[in-house]
Amino acid sequence: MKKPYVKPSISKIVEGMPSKFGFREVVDPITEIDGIPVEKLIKEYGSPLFVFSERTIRVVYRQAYMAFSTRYPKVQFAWSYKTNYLDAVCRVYHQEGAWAEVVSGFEYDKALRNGVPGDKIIFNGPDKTREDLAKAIKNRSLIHIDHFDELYTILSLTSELEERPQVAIRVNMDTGIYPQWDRFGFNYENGEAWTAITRIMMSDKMDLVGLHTHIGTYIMSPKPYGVAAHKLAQLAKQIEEKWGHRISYIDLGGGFASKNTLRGAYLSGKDTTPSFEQYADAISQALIESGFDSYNLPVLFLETGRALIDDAGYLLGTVIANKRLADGKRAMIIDIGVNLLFTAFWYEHEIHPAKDVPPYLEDTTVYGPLCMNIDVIRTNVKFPMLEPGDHVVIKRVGAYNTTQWLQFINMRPNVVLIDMEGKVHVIRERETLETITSLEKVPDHLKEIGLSDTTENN
Amino acid sequence: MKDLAISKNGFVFNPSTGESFRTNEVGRLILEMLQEGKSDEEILERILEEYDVSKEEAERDLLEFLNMLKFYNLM
Ligand SMILES: Cc1ncc(COP(=O)(O)O)c(C=O)c1O
Repeated sequence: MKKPYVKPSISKIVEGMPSKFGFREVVDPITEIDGIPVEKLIKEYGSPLFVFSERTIRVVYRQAYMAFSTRYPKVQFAWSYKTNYLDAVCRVYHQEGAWAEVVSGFEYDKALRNGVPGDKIIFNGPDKTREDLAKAIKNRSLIHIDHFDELYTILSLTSELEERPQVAIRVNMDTGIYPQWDRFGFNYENGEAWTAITRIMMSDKMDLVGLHTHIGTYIMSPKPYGVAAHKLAQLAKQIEEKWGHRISYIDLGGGFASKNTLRGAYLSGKDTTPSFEQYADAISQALIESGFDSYNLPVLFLETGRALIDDAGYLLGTVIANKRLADGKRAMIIDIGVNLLFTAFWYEHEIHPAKDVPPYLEDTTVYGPLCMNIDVIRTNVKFPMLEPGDHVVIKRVGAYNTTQWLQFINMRPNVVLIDMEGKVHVIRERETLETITSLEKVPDHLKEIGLSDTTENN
Repeated sequence: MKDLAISKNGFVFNPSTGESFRTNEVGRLILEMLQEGKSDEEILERILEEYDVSKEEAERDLLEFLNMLKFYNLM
């Protein structure tokens, strides 16, 4: 009787080695999400699988809201649709009190469908059609004007419509960060913003209700927000001095960093990302010191995206194979490609085994299943040995992935939400062949392709 | 190769570099036979005698394992 065979293996033990952060590196397993076993989720809903935690969404939102509302009396969040516009996710934010921030007619209609009143929708972005603008004007939505052409379109619409457009301008500015985003909105330093404001005030055909800026994304320091708040406050005060007109809100956009680690960063995002409190300190201090009449402070609007949702999203997947690269390095292929995890281009996403495994780690490259060189989930991560069929959990994937994902080579997977009671809901069904082909049309002359099955004849 | 300390539970210590490795049962058998100066063919034969495995599979795995030893500078 022969013994059962197991393929010979040898791996270097790096467990206990100090990492570049000076800590012992361990890769803890993530066996469950909000009390639901990962194995069970994959068994019932397939792999890969996006999982959102309603609890985490609400908890993080409340932390952010607390941080700002305890420092500044009037705070209003508007959920950034492009960051994650799954209806169920948006509705959790709306239930928490967030308005909607949209950048296209599509997102605008989605917000309306979700039950957001028109006057609680902020309409940003350079691409608003004349029809989009007319609809937004009728609904008294807050239109954030991006460029002069848009301003003139709105002006021309005022002769056709009864409602006065409720507008703000988007301002770009030097806040000390590089690169400076100057392609959106009107520049502060060169006076363009003031020109736009003057044009709006002189027209007397619309209400200038706010001032907006979005200084960038993943801004790792609170300071630029203080600068931005100060500059918008100065504009607001100049408007009041010149026309006696009071701006009702100042919108500082999004851009707070999440706890993900940027690719190539030396330190982990968990250690470097400012807290909501730190951002709130910088912003509220700048606003309060701007000398507004304390009974008439403008409302502070925030369009925070990734910092609110990243932690609530997980991507579960399965190991397809292990390989040795030409130089002997270990490679692990999983069923999650960069088409599903777009943010892999940005972040060194944390990846965890879904079960307890021996803690021996080896430098590993994690590849997705696409037949392309760019399909790398992690270039190098110390990771334990998993076998084909074992599962992995990728953390902090809540932002931008379920909006920027691409259907490529395979269909997009199920997305589930675990509610506050631990009940699992499919919030976006996995695509099928039919999802894709139902949109395609085959011209008549291509209906018959003429290849016959010759195997039977042989 | 001769200097490697191989423990029963699969730990391998290379005293000339201070590095430690973990191997499994078949890996240990291969390492021990290499230390005894056995050839690749002899090792393969022994694996086929002792384990329930096809020749193709055992041969492929042995080759891969020997490559790993070279990668770790153990041969
Ligand atoms: C105008 C505007 N607001 C808000 C956001 C959300 O940004 P973030 O996810 O960095 O918080 C964006 C993202 O690009 C944006 O363009």
